[in-house]
Amino acid sequence: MVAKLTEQQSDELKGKEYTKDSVFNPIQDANDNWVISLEEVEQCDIKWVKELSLIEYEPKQTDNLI
Amino acid sequence: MSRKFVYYGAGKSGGLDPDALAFLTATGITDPTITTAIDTLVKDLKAQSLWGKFRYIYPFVGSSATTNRFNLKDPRDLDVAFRLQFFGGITHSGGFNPNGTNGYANTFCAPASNVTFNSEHLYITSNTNNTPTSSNPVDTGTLNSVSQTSLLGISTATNSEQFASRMNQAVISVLNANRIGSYCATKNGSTNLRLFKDSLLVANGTSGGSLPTFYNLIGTLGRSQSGTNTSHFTNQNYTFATYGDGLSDTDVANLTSIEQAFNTTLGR
Repeated sequence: MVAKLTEQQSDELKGKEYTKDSVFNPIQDANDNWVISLEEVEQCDIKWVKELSLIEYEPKQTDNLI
Repeated sequence: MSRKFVYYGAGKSGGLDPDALAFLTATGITDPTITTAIDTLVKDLKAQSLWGKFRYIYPFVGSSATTNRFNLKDPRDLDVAFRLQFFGGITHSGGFNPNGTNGYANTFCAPASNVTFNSEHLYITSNTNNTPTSSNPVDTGTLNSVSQTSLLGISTATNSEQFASRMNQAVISVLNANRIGSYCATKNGSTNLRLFKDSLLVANGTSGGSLPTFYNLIGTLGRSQSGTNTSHFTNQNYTFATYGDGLSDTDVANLTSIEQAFNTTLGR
């Protein structure tokens, strides 16, 4: 499971620490939803992040480099 | 004026190697088992003339982002000291464990600026055999293009059971059904890329190309100048990682022996 964001919420979190020495990393899933991990949700203290809806994670297919 | 003295383990800090002491001071670690393990690790690497060959050594001790981020070779809290920056979901208990969804670490170390072409190694230890959750995971390295890259993966290919490296062009790979182990990819003065698992040579071949300019990442692959990334994530628990000059077969055997003794001391 991952937490779903709007693009605006994603932009707001990029580069921001969610806990000491660790930075949010919003990514897009296979359906182009912006998402963050449960670890980020659980360890941050931002109220609206903790209220995000959860969805199944479907990874985006990437190029095979090896 | 008061003076504060810090004691490590049973003895005074004066008995510790200065590089071990600098790392322990930077991380704030006082645990006697970790202190002894780090001190022995540094002394053993120096005794085998390996210490000078590393640009970074991440021993992943202390079970927190704050302690895991420091480079044993240069434990300053600076990007130029290759202090790690963590992104996305990561667990720091008993090593560095990115979640395979969006977690990774940026080393700030670009191969082209820090090693010589055809003299390079990547080394990483996993104590888990997790099935990857992302497509085409890469455990460490970076890639400007397929002919300008330095990367190592232990869960590659469609069945996720290949140990492979591209350094700096052609891919060398071998079947790897169990991801637990100590992995090294190295070129030691020629285009011959040699892959080792637990110090055993498991594959080798020619890989030409050139050195990448992007930063090495751990837990994924560097794909941009900024060190940010959104794909190729891995989900193993890493207990040790290094990067630096090319290693001889004897160097790899010595490094693996020292690293495995280090992790045995720490019970992992």
